[in-house]
Amino acid sequence: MDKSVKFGSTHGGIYIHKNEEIFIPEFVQKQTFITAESEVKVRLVNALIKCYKSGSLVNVRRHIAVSKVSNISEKCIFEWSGEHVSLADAELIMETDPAVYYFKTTLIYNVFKYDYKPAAEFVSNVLGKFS
Amino acid sequence: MGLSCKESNDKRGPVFAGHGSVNTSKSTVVPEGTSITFFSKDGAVITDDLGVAIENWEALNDSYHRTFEAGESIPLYCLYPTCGALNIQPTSTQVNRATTIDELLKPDMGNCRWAACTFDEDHENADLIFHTDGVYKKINGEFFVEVDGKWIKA
Repeated sequence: MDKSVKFGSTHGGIYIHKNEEIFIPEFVQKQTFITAESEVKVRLVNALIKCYKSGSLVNVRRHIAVSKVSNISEKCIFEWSGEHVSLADAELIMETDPAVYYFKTTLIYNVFKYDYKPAAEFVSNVLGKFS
Repeated sequence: MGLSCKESNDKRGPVFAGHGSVNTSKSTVVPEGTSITFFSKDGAVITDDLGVAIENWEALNDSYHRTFEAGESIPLYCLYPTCGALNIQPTSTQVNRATTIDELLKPDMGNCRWAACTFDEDHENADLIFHTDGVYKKINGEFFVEVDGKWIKA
């Protein structure tokens, strides 16, 4: 029985990124939200989960994404706002005007778990599109 | 790439679909009347497209595959629920919690298929991506495909 709820556009093959797509790293050391920015972090996680569910997923593979920020690898499964979130190993394409970004799904987990704060322009565009 | 072992049982059994992993330090035995075919090497991943082809019983004769027959020892594979990102076929068997293969395989199931990854992030094959048209790996953000034992930029 198919229990799955299909998300937005997905590409389950080998997707070779276009030159104009800007890659956002899944984590950068010392680039984190401070306590005073916790509200922005919450809004960003909400927006990224919305992007994951309704945006364009490429290079979708059939295992749970793994975060390797800490010494121990962690499956990207977490509870958020009373919802169980599990992230497939994949990349997201996010089209904004004028930039098109791509990033690994592990970025979402690393914002949630490690307070990762991606580049300001990216954060602004994600919030602008998915808040 | 190459063919490891042919699917030999004519009776089609369940296709187990979703997210997957393997624990090669533990094992179980395939029950009588049952066999199971995998389409990726232990430690590696499959694309969602390959998963769909497996689920639809495409022959995949030119793709890597390995069948374990009844009585053979196999590593302890684990199936996880899908998350909405996968294109799971309505005829496939899914789980609603992490379930190891010793709980999934029963006697006289016929030939089963595994339409999930066999992923282990610490395994030497962890960077291999099995797809419908070959085996890929990603190096410094670029895809390479295996051709005659060599890695060629895709």
